[in-house]
Amino acid sequence: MTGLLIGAAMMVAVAQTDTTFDAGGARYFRLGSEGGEIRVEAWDRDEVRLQADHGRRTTIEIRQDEDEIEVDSSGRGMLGGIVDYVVTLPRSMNVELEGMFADITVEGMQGEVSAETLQGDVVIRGGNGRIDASSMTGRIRIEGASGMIEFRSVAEDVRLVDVSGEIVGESVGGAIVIENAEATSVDVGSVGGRIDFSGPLADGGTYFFGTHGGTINIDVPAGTGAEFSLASQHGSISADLPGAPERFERRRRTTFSVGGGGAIVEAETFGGRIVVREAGSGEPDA
Amino acid sequence: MNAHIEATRLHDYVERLLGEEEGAAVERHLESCDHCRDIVSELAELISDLASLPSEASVERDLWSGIESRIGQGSGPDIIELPVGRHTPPRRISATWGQLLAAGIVLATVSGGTVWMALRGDTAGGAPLAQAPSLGSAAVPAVQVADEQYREAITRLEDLLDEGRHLLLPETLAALERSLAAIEGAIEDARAALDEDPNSELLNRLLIDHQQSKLRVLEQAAAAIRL
Amino acid sequence: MGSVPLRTTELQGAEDPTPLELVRRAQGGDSQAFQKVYETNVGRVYALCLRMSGDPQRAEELTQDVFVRAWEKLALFRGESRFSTWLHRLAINVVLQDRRTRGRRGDREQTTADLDIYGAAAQKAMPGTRVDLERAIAGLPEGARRIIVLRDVQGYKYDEIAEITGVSLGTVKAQIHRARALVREALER
Repeated sequence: MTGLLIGAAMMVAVAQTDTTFDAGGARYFRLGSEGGEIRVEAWDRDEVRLQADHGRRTTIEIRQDEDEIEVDSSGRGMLGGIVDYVVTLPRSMNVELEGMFADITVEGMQGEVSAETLQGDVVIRGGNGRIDASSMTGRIRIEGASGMIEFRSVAEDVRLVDVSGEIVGESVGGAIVIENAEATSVDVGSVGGRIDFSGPLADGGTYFFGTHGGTINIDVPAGTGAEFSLASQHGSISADLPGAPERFERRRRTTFSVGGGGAIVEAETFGGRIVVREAGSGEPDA
Repeated sequence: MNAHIEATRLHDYVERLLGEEEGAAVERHLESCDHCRDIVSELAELISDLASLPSEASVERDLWSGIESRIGQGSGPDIIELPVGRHTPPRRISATWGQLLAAGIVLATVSGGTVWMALRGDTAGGAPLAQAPSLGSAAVPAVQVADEQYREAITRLEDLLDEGRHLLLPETLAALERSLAAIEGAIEDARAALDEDPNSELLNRLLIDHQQSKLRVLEQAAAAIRL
Repeated sequence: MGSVPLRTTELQGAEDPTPLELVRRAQGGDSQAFQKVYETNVGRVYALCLRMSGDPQRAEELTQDVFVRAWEKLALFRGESRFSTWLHRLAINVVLQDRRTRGRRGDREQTTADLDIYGAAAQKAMPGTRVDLERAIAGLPEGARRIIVLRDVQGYKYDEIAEITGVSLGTVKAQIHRARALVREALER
């Protein structure tokens, strides 16, 4: 999508904006875009560098409030509001990005990050505090973020790697893969997609997984203490953990405790599979 | 003195923005130039008149009720919390959007949430871990009540989506419709299974989950249309 | 030394919350407190919107937008400036934003009839104001109008105006000189 538009941009007349200005200690950065790519990078200066490729009749508007910097574009002509942004921000800033047809990438920020797009991928590397990622038809990838992590994808896959804190989110049709998470709570669901989770379970932490037709793979480290509550209407359940039941009945909720309890893990599916096992005991089921 | 002082400097002079030396130079010029002196005095008078215009104006019409209706649905500024259980992070909804929909959605989700809490209370927090029984029948009517409210909220959102579907790209719309169909299929599965096993706690929970999921997808779509 | 003032403060605290307390309550989601905040500040906000827009009806809508936006952004107010200053700045942003939005649809020239309506509304809303001056401001092109209001009526510094409006200092100054000349011209007509 973006590539196509940039191709068109070259034919139509492209303009570039490249400006660096004092951030004035502002804590919030907001950017709204109709289309194009949004890339946010971090640096250790109290300055904002805004690079933008856009049509010649597009205007980039920068508004600076006491505490926030807001960037918007408006334009006429073929390219209208299509802008490719590269923004470099003070590392600690909180970032809020909204795009309609935008791929969004945020790298190395240490504040809160909110990235919402209608059609496009969202990639967030880093971030602390509240982390929101949402795309209707694009993929979501969050790496190394910590805090309250929320995601929502309607149709595509979501991958969270090396994140910590609380995780909440859903994908209707895509897979949700959470790798090596240090989560204190998880609440994720998918209608048709697969859910993979791996990482330590915190004592007192709560972990909920739900899918209608997909497979739920939960890999827990050896020696984990947890209470499991697993339920399936028409699907299958297996738990390869010391002390877990060998057989699970359909249409019943089965609960059991391993390693003396500690975390609460709950998984449920209508027609899919639930697979619980010790980490390192093989590839997750597809 | 021959040449007049340019207008910009006269404005700066009146506004006391010139340095001491420059200001003194202008003053020396003014002593001997009626033209510039007239401009300065007119300017000074105008600026003084403008500065003394009233800073407040009374509003005849009641503006507050309009403001109140736009901010009124939320529990607090900026964030309207949808107080439900699973998979529902607090959602930020703009005032306009909230105004359109919050009444329906909040009502529905509050009810759903209440039901949900009741359901969850029976299971996740339960200390004795054994084969849990099916949910007691007392909760079922509550689910049905919530179900009705969800249907209403969903119908309202679907109407909105219908009106604005032309605003979405075909591929977005296609993905959206696929997803909604998948959720609808899941809802139908859960309902059909509930017909056979009406007291199943699992099925009631799945049904509520899917309905909430549908609500959120529709909400996301409607928000996209608004963009 | 402080006994009398102190008692006054205590009484105020008990029965009549200070403006800042009301703001704090509103930040916590108390819409009744926010209504009081509105009542205290609406006069200044409306006056600003009225002059910046030159349109009484639009000014009412903008005033509502300002308070809705303020409610949404209340969390950002941390008490480093006076609330009224914060709100005023936010109001300017809302008006400028509106101008930008409408700007894409094109500005409309003010007709004499528009100015008559405006003058009457200004007199009603601000009894004792100089209607000729108000009309002259309202009749300015939009860019010149907003800058003369910010500079000469509201008293913002040039660099602040440049920052708020996002245009260069030189442009701001050129605009204000032109605006003053046009106002004088209008007054002489």
